[in-house]
Amino acid sequence: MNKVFKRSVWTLLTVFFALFFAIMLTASAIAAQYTSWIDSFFGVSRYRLVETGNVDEVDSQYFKSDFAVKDESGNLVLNGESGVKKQTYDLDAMRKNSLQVAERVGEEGSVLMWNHDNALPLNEGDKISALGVSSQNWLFHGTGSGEVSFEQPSFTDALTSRRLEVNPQIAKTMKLASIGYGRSWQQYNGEDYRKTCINYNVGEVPWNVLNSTVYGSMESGITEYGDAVIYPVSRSGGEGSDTNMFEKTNTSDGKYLQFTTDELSFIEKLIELKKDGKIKKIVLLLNTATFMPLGDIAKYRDDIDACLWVGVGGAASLEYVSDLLVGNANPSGHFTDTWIYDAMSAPANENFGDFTFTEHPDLGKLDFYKNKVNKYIVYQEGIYVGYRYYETRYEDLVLKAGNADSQKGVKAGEGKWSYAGEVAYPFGYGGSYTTFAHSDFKVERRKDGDYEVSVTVKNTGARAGKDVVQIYLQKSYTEYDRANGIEKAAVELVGFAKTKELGVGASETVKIVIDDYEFKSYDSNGKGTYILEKGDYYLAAGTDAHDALNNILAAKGKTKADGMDADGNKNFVYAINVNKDDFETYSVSPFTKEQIKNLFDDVDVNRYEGTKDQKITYLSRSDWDKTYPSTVSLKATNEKMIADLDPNGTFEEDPNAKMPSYETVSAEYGKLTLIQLKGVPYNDPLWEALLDQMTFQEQVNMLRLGARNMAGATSIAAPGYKADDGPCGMHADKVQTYGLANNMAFPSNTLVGASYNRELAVELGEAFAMEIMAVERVQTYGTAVNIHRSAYSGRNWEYYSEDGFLTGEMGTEVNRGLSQNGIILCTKHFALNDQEVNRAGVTVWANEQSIRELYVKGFEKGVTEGVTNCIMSSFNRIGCTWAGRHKGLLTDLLRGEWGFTGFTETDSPQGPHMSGTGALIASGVVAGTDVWMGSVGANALDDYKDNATVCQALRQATHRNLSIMLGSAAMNGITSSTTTEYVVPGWEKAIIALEIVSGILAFACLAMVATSWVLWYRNNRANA
Amino acid sequence: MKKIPWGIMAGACAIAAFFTVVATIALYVIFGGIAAMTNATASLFDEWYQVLLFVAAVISVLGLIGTTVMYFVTAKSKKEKGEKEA
Repeated sequence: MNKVFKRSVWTLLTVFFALFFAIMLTASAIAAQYTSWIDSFFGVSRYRLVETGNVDEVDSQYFKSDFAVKDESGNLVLNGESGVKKQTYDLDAMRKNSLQVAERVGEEGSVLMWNHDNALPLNEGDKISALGVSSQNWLFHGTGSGEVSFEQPSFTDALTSRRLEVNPQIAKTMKLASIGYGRSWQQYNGEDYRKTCINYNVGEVPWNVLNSTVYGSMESGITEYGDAVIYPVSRSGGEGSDTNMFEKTNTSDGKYLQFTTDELSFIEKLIELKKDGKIKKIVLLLNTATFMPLGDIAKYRDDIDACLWVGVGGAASLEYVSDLLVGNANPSGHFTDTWIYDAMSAPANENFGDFTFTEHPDLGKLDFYKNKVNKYIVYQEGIYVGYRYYETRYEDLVLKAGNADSQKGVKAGEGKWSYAGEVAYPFGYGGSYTTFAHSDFKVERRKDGDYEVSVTVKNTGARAGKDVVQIYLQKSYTEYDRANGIEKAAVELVGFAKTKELGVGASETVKIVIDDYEFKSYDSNGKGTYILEKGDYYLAAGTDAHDALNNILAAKGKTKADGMDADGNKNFVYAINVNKDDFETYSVSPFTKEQIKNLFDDVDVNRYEGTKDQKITYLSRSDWDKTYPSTVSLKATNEKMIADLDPNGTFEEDPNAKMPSYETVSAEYGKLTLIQLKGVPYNDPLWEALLDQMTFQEQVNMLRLGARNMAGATSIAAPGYKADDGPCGMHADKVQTYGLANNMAFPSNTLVGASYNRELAVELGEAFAMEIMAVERVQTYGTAVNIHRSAYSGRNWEYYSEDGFLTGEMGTEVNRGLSQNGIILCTKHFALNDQEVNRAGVTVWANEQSIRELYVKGFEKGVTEGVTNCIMSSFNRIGCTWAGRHKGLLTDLLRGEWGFTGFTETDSPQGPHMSGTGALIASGVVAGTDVWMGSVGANALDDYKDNATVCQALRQATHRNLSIMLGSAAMNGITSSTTTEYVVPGWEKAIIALEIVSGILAFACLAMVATSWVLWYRNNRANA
Repeated sequence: MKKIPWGIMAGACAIAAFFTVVATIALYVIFGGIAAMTNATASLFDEWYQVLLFVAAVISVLGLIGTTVMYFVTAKSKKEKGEKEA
């Protein structure tokens, strides 16, 4: 008896189970906040569909895959459980199609930079050597959530299959060398910005090591296979950290994008071998996520026979690269960025990186680390990003205006600023194995006010190929602009088209429509809206931005004698004189008829009340010297600013808001299900009846459970759906479950942009959609349409260009391919998320003209064309307010001006400024956020159950969410007799079971402790 | 000499060892899952509290071993003493 009731044993067991019980209670509470993430981790869904009717004759496959298997009669072969039909897929055919599309994107996106004496393409049977670690360690994708992993093919095999003889010994040697050396990336989670950036390492094997006895002599092997030496150089980038823009440190190769000492010694050695007659050609391949500054190799340009930028092409990389090398394909890509000699010559880099408020005495109450609330970034360069800066300053140099010849901004050149000293290749540049001639430039004004431009392109070379026609606009830069801080770039891309493949001697007349909407400018300081000023405007065709500008300068009567680097051709210019100011036409949204007014005064240091004691000077062409950016110092001491930085901010109550109905059947037809509203307009009263049926908690769940598992609702048979990361292929787990060996890695968006081929972008979106359907996902987190503000932004490979217009045009076409196949595409990251460091909460400051004309431009086209059905808000703050709580951004601009009918979703919450308290969630949903990507608890809005403003906002968010769900592939297999059951997943059942068992055991042990003490007391008394 | 309760100490160490080891593994699995979503990697020592937990786990496991050994050693000597006295 005494042994059974041993006090110490039961006390210890009580402690154990009590602790266990307490931990399970805590775990359960935490897990409730992250349910969608955990569901995703285990690959489970909470909504089980059950078909209750006989639906054999009903076609419920609203979006059919191009690769759905059909029987001999042409009917879809369907399977599925619980009576709900699913398509089956020919996965081999699907993947073959994806690879073919990806290969064409690579071929049409790769840019031939130079090709002396037609060094490329190589000849069949050429004996070649592929050198450098990247020849065996190719860069297929960048890093981060967008990276798609797969079994990597061999460059040697790809080249050999094109009937080139590749030196096998050198391939083996490089393989061996790539083990000890080679590109690497290491995660660093600390606060030291410099350490964050030096995680990327190039790791080229030094020539002297390669030529040592360890690896055997390289020279004799190279000489034997010396018809050509292929030397790939790669540069990665990715989510979470930017690349190193600092000088050389002990642990890195210095500025990451520049050529390293080892790479340069490699190139020098190859040139030496070529001069000695040991090799015939040197071909440099730039396998880089974005552009590389070319200052280090400028002097070798004549000695390197050919250079091809091949980008980061995903799974098809080595196929298209090999085809381009042997001439099976002709490169027709054009740059989406300006390639410069020194990346630091871009004025944006003066304010790129890690900046901390110099004073923030009253911010102590806020969480500095997690909010990044003490960090800021100022877009002091205004609109002068990329070619807008270089070309505009060049024009002013020729026109001898604005102190353009100042020494400010001189990085690669010497003395006074010059275009040739800083720019290696202009935006839009691209070579070919053939040549093209442009003629018959014509412009006509259409009845709708738009301009139709036509250009005839003729293939004048000896190979078939494609060309790109680019149309640029120059707006009038006026005294009003100078007075009101409006900037006008010398050229802006406003239209482009790619020809079909032109055979030798063939020609095509390309027609491009220029929207007159592009002629407007944003005037935040004067009229507070879009305006069109009187003056001279020019539409010009050019082979690139610089060529178009030279044509405009020619039309202005300028020649090389005025300092131009080439004479332009005025025959490719159409001048338009606007004879009076128009401050009305463009002040109204053409999409919604809403009045357009300033929405981002709180983001402009010079206009925000909270920074009224601080002023900055934006870069202006009125004086390049006096306005050239330098690092901006900001402080956070103003009370208004501190209040706005607090993530638990308030929202404006709507006095007219009425409490909505819940759990009420109000439709005259009785209870409705979501599918029954298919085809019903968004504003039809039936939607209100459907929403009336839902519970408050169902609507909260749809708001909070958006992380890879979008919530459904049983009351209306809404199915929910699965999502995964994009934007360059699905980042889906457990694809083997669906019969696939791996996910499909599509080319990076920079490469897609460089193709300048809208039709191909649609095809890419379609192929991507097929891949998404095959793994039973409905939503992808992409495409990504931020811009390349700085070359050092880690995530540039996911973005298209430094230009908002090109980004918008190409991103929209990818989205079109996705959305027309029922995919929900979460276009990201809205907005001003143009660097990785401090992204989770950094305050971003910019003027409204640059926000509208550059940074949200990429989102606008897809939204206004009704192609984009979901927008992902960004991690950062817009001014002091997190993007997901910025009403101006999410409601007034997105919905008010652009007429967005989709839903907005947050990025994955990182820090309390995105998912901290109920007040934050309430203010977010009122501002226009419709879905949180997880990390919000089930009770988050309990305090607002009776708040009509919040409940109405929640209802609208649910409405938008359901509307998009209804129009998507999530409804495939669902009929009016399909029901939705809520299923508690196994992991949640396990937690509940452990809670109950540990609770019972804790109390049982406690009882035993009490019993043992009583017995002990009685024994003692008896013994006494 | 005061009698040391090795059995109770072993039990306390066992409890501490159980929770710290489970917590260390759970954090590693959770961080690994999060990292996998961004193609990053996780380790046992990413955060200061992971290091703390790991150290606590090692100490409590060592404590468990030590106190268990001492418990049996004391129990054996107690038994031998009892037999001698008998």
